Amino acid sequence: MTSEAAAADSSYDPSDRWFQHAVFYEVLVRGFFDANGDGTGDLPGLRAKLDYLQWLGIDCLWLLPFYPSPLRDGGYDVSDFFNVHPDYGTLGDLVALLEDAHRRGIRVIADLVMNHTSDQHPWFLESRSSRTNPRADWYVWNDDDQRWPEARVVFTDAERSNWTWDDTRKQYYWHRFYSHQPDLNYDNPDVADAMLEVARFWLDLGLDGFRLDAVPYLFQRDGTAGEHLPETHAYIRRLRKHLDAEYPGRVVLAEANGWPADVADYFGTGDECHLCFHFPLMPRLFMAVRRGHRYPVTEILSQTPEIPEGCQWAIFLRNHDELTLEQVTDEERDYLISEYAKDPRMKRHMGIGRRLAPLLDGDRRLAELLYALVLSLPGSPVVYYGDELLMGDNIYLGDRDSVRTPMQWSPDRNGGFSNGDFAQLYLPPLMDPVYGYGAVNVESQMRNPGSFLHWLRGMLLQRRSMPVLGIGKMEVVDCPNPAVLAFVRWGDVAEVPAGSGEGLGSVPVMPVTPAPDGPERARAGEPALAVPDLTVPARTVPARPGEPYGAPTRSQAVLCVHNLSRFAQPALLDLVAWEGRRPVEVLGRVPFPVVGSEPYSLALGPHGFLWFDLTEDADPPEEAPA
Amino acid sequence: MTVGESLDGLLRCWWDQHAPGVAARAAIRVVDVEVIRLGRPGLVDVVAEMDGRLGHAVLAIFGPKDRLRLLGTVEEPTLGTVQDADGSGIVADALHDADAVRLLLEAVEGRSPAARPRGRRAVSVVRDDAEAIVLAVDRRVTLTVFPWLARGPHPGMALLAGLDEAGFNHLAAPIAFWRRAGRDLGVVQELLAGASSGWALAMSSLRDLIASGVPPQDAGGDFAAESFALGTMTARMHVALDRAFGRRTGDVVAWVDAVGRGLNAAGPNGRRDAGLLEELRRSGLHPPTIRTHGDFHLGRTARTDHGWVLADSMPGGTAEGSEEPVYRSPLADVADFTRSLHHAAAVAAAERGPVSAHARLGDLAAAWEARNRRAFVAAYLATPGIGGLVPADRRVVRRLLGLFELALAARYRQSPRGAA
Repeated sequence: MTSEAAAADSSYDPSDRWFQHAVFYEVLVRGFFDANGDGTGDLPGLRAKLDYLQWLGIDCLWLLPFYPSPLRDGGYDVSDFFNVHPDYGTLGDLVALLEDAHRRGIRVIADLVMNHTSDQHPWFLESRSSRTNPRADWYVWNDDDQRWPEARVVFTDAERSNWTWDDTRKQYYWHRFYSHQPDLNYDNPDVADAMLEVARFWLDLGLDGFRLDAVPYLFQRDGTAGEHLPETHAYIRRLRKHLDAEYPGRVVLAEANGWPADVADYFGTGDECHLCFHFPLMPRLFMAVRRGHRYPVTEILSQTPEIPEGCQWAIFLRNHDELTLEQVTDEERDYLISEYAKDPRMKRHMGIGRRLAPLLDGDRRLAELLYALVLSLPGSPVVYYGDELLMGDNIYLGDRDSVRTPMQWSPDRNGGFSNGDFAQLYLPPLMDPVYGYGAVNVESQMRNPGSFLHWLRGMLLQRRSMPVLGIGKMEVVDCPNPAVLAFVRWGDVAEVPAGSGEGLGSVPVMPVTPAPDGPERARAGEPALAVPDLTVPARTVPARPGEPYGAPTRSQAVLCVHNLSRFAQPALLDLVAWEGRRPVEVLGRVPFPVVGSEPYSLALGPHGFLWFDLTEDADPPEEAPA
Repeated sequence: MTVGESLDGLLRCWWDQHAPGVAARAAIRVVDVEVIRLGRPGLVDVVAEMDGRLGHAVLAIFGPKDRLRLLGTVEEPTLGTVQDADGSGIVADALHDADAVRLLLEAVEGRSPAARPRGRRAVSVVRDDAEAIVLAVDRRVTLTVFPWLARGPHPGMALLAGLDEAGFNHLAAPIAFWRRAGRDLGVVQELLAGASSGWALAMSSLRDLIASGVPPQDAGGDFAAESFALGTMTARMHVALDRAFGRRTGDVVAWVDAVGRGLNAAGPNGRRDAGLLEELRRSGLHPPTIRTHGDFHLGRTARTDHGWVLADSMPGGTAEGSEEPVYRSPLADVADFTRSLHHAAAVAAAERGPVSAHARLGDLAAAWEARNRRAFVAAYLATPGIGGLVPADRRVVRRLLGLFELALAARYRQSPRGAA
């Protein structure tokens, strides 16, 4: 990001560690907004909606794959690593998007599908053509399908083996996912180098980093399950070294679905990935609110190791895949399926193919509680597109398309997503009376100050003033009531002065000429959408030694209390370590009684939550609200 | 400090705080005094005979300018004043002052005095009643001090030590036992951070069930998985108790006779009960007995982030009003626990009004009890090692459980106060 772009938005954190307290927004380009009316979302469409995303208060966009692909697996079957899928636009459209996003203080990362390609990729077509061609060893070939029996089949409902016979080459090829996604052979140094070139290409265009797809599977070794191998970590370290040397401030986020202790290895000693998804937390959040007690969450937190300085977890409620149940016990899986997937059509692979709102039976209060947890637990939150509206899903669509339906912008034709013909749309928008675009859409929620969209925006902006929620220390507060999950996040923070991006984190942006059917056309075609207010508060950031913010630091402590039960609950909190502090409720700035040596007493409504600044000022303001 | 009239006055004041109204009438005989720490703050530990009981007071002596850091809501923090080699001092209950608690903890743990740990640390009161005063210190340990002592070793401490030495890890590990002259004065244990009592969790589950109105297996707050884990923990506890204290041989006929007497005293018996007693009497079984927990129910357990633990080792396998351990069939503890499930279901149903007015309430409560009882007993019997302690024939197990539950029913019929 250029310093000029950075200065344009006071919410921009110029630090290389911006990701530690950022809010990510996961977006399916194909499903977000169709600027050219062909029925498929595209990059100009996304660019046209940046005002909305800036208003919402997100810090970083995560783009699902936008590369050329036969789209047999949502774009994770890449057929050209150096281009944009023609349905989504051009390289120029991407650069224009990056420039506009950066100007708004929004960074952009994208999926990097390292493990495999499409079987239509020229590399694979060449590799399969003979056993002697120059790319013959770019994929993993074998004469029989018996090697590496320890490696599990990931998509058990679609594939029987990790080997598939190729009739051209007369050999089997290795694939950890679908058979049309052959795995690259990272033992071939040319492949390892080629993927670094791919990364360089996109970073040079201005991307702020990558989400590394399916990263545990890069290598295979006899007698192992072919996951989390030392060779994989060595390769990630190599990638990271290039990033740090040539692209400071850019990040890599690992998609490694495993137990926290295993996944934490992908941080290395701070020399591998900047971020890793915390997969096991997500199903346990859903379990905790159904069971009405905190232990599913506190158990997994207690199993989560400390991570190196300069790293961060990425936490989420839902994403583009199924609600994965790999990292739960058999008993927990049965429980979650019985509670959240009562219709067998809701099941996908080893999980549940539903969006947030239908999972919660449309219970807004519960959605607010879950977001409050994701915004306050250690980690950088990732919001899935449409979940800010509590959009629904379509379980009758195949595979994971149930949660990839078009963004609902307005009650107009096609939900305001596209002005193309309905039959052209890549997937039908939701039209049911509960979650359909007539009932749930951006336009109506923006016009309604009491909407979930406004509520979430308020929370995201609030979070910007509380960076300790990102990387502050965390201590669970003892409470005898199992329905209550309370913790304190604390640390030192600093206010970033406006324009402080100058000279920091500067990233070259390629000059670009806007595509002829770029955002201007998109804006002309889109429904009127008044973005009411782009003002965001100044960014408060964690204070880090040696970083020249030029602002004095202060300590910040935030008490977060959540009621996981659907009934009102009392909370007697052991806050004696914070004796003498005055809790001030963060949303209303209402001062509460000073913490004493006795357990601190609170009452919480059903699925309610309260966040407090634990201020050192024991005296309330003179005219404190009643 | 001059032991004599001044100590008598201080102890009388302490006694009045712990047993209001009795202290003024009875004599006090000091049994044992230990000066734990000289100077200011000073610590003096006193055991004294008070109206037939052994009171245990830990006194802290502060200088006139010292500031007390009081814990909890103490109406009268000081017990009096003293004059000793260090001059005049103000005496307070050491367990009411955060700094005195730290000093006492250092002495009990045998650690050399250390600077107060950096960071956010604190002392808080976890429990304060006639049985024990439990203080959490620096989110690291709990210090339990008994205000009233057993004549010999405290049965609860004996049970705790036995379980720990036998490798039972479902408990807050003891770090140091505080003993003097053959008496247990207290114990330091690892802090069970984030623990909630089993009773509270069971009630959460029941309230969810009753509000849902669906069968327990379909309710979000289903407790069966927790009951299963509790069954496993209970069996492991019994295996460890067997290892720690050994086993004896029981006589089913004697048990049947005792239960029969209790039933007769409580009122007329049904034919079914009589049939059960007769079957067991005819069996002539001599199953193993062990030192059991003695009063095992949901409230004695706690859920932590690392699973279930035994939160309370009282009464230490003794009979009510006795300090001598009693050897029972481990199934007696199991029956205590299943009775506790019954009690929880009844209490949750009663929260909604008379069960008779809402027929469905009774059905739901019964279904919850049955489901959780099944899960608990199934896990208990499936735990490795328990086979040597309970009969192999499941029909006999069921009958013995029935026998112990009859005994409990008779006891509660005679005394309306149920166990939690």
